Amino acid sequence: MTLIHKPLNRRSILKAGTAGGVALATPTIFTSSAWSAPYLNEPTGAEVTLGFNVPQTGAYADEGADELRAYQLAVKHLNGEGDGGMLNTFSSKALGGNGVNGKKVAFVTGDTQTKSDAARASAKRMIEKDGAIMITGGSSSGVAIAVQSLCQEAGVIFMAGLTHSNDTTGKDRRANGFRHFFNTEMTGAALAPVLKNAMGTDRKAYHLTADYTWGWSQEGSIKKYTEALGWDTVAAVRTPLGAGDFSQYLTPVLNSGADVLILNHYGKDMVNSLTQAVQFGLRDKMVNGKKFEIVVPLFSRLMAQGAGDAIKGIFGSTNWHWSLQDEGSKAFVKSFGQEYGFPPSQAAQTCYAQTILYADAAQRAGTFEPCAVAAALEGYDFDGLGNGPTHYRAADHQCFKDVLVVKGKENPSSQFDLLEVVEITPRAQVEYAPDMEDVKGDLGTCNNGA
Amino acid sequence: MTLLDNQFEGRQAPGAKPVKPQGGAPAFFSAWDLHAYYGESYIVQGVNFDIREGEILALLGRNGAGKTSTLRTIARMDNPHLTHGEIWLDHKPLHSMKSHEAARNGVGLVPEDRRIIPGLTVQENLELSQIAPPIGWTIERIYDHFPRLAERRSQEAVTLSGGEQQMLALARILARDVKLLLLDEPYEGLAPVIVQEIERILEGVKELGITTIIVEQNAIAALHLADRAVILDMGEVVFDGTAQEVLDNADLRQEYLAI
Amino acid sequence: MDEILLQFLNGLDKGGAYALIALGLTLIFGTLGVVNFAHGALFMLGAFCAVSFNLLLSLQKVTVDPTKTTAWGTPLEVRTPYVEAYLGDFGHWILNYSVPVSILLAIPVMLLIGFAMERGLIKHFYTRPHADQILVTFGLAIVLQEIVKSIYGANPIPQVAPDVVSGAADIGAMLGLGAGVIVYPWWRMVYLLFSLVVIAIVFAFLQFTTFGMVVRAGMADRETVGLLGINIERRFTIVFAIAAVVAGLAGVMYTPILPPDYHMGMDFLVLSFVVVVVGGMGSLTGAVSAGFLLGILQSFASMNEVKAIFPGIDQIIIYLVAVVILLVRPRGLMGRKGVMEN
Repeated sequence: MTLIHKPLNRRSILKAGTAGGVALATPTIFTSSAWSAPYLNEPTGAEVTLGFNVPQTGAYADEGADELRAYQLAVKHLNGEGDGGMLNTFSSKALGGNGVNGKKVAFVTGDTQTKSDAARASAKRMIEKDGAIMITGGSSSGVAIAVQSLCQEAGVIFMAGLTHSNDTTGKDRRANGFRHFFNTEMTGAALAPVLKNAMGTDRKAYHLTADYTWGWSQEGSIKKYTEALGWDTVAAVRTPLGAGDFSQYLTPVLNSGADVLILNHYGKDMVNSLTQAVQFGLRDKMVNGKKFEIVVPLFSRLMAQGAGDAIKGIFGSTNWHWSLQDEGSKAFVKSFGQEYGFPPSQAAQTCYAQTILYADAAQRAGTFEPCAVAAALEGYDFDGLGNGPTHYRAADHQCFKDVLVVKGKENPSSQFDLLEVVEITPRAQVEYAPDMEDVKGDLGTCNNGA
Repeated sequence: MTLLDNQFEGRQAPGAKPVKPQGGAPAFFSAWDLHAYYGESYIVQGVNFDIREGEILALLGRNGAGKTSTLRTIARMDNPHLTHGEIWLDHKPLHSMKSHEAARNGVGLVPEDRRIIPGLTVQENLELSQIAPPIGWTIERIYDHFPRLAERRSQEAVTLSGGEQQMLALARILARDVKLLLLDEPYEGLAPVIVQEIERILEGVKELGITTIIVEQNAIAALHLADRAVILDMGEVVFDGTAQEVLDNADLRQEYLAI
Repeated sequence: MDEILLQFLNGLDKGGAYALIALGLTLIFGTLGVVNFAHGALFMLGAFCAVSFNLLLSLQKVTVDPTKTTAWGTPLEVRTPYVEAYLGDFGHWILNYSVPVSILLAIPVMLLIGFAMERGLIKHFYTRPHADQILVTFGLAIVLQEIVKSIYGANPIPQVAPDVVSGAADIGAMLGLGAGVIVYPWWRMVYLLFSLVVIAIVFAFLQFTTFGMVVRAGMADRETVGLLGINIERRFTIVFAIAAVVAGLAGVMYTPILPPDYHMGMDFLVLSFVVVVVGGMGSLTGAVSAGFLLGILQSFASMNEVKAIFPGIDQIIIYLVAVVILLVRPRGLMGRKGVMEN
């Protein structure tokens, strides 16, 4: 069939091209998944690819490494290898240990370097080149929000890793994004009553805050809840991220009249500011007739290891801890511990849980189509993943579960046993309405990326 | 003031007139076809001359003729950069050496502006000059002949007067065993009274029989001290003869020296 | 008033670190004519000497206790440090004093590293333009950083000061101002004293030894030193090694103040260069004075009262001063005339 008629001009080529194109496309109209909505990176072979985007370099590389270990363990369990871990204790039995929707789970990894640009670039690469159908991971709220927005634009699901700022499921929430880890609002609600019991209601607080989205979020939440108790906020000072030497910020605290220091710092910042605060004798001070206290609202076992002796007696909150005695936690600790030789961190637990939850939702929906998976996660109630009964709220894609209030142990029995759980705050106490001032946002509609 | 002692063994006795070597033996000092650049600027454009042992050569010319550059090239400093030519001193090839090697082989440059090292005392400046061999006079000996320096031995050297600094610069070189003394504008910036003092010192140095090249804007003074004269113009040699010839020839002086 | 005194002390001890690093930088620039962007890495390596020493001492004997198990079902391992097992109380004492004792390890290690760096890399760049020197030393700094990260991990590894100086001194009480008013950590004051001692030793070495005299002469006028027959390049290796030791010692003693991590070199490098620029490239007294001056300025700028007038001033004050100096007096406060001015 001669498609090209003389004379050769633009119109004739266009005509020929269109005719050729229709001819070439005809077969695919009949073999594609015409019976469901088309979506990006639909797995056509025997495998489905997940993208694990974690900080492999940069200040949070150690947390990223733990996240990666958890992801790899989850993939093993999904594919039926190992001892099954929390799949055995999970309330949903949709997964059979033979992959998801009949496909073996494979994965690719990316390095966020704890920077938003690098994170977006590596997520983009995993979606476009490696065909990842879901992206997960990260240890910084700035990074999580950036990657979540990219996944929304591209049309894949984003299962957040460790991100604590309200904004991730608050003002920056997205229909393709889901967070299991708790937020600063829940930390504030859980910590406040414990602080009231331990320190009373007549306290003057001084905040040192890391100057970026997560710092501001936590400072705001803690202020809100402590002021409601009757505490006075003497000052809230911003410190540059990665400051290193906090002595110049700590000296004003000494004579400010404050008797509680709240460190809204994470990672390296927290290790430094807490150690230096203790060096300045803040723990031994008496102010206003009361013992001076230090609170670190969010910290992890890894950071506690970094802070050494300084963490003893310090109050904080975490999403999970390996000493919990419910079946899910014990199974996970056993599985992870036997695989790697040390217990999992809270970052590991949330990442493992997110992977299982995604796989389970896809299995229940019978497809990997983002909108269908999202619908399966929205409003979902589950248990057995280490936090007790948990609800994945539809309005903002945030998990609601019990929150742990922890304290640095005075006499650790081993190098891992640094925190003790002083209170498990029940879920009902930390719930809030999705349109509350600090956390409201527009979810938008899900995107299949077709 | 006379400097009588001479410990330079194996050389001609002080005060004796140098004898021209027979049979075309190589001169004590030879500069053959030197070409040197300051960066892109072509400064020394083919300079040749020989000096016999013990002779004093006055290197003259107008400003910018290339006199200081020639001295610095002979002293093997980093700039100007020697691109072509050979320099021989007492059968040693200087052209392949760096400045410190040349100094160890007998070259002693007293730079324009003296270059007394700041932060060091007079004593330290002298000690510095005796760290590398070959060593010449002892420091005590130097103090004997330069009592003004002895008085100021613990003083910061840069606080000395112009004339005293010039004395120190010369003393530094005498503290080393120098075969070729290069004097770059020794009288520059000095009051006439001081100039006379330095002149007397240089006459004493002359009696030691050290081969010398003197560059000096004050051509007449240099010519009175020197045996021979070489005049440079635009980086090239335009006259090579005795100092007396230049002193006698007013036209020559007018043309190339504007005096 | 007490706030001001406290910030002054802060500035002094931070300034001590800056001064030590800037001292080495200026020595290298003034003598070798090399801009050494790997100098911060030397500070970091010194800190990791302390870390390694401590790790070595803490090497533990692992015995398996069959009667107890971990939370994940494997038999519990009981760990005792060898040093305590074999040396008892003395071993315990050494562990406690590991930071100052690690100076004994740091000096030879840093000498070796300085020697290797200079002979292996720096000497090929003496005559190259400064831009080349910056590129290659910066590259080296990154390589060293990554090596440390791959061995020790990315997290900071805190070191403790010896118990006797790990608390805070009640300076207020000493000055008669009342107890608990001005409290300052002992170790930071130890650090300030230490940095002053090291600076004094370096200056004494330069002032009273022949080698030091040659170095001073070479820094002041390299050309003339060559005219006197001295091959200054032969001294470069030793000068570089000395500068490396100074930076390393600054790092060792700083570990109880700031838990060391692989990136700390870079954090101090930029500041140290600013210090050297302000003090004057090639001036040792300038480097030391500017180090303390900028440390104090930075501390004062982070007082809340000051920040209320100029928000954010604490982060930019040092760079502001550098910009002003570069515009008004490019040679630095005590720099040699003509350096950086054309």
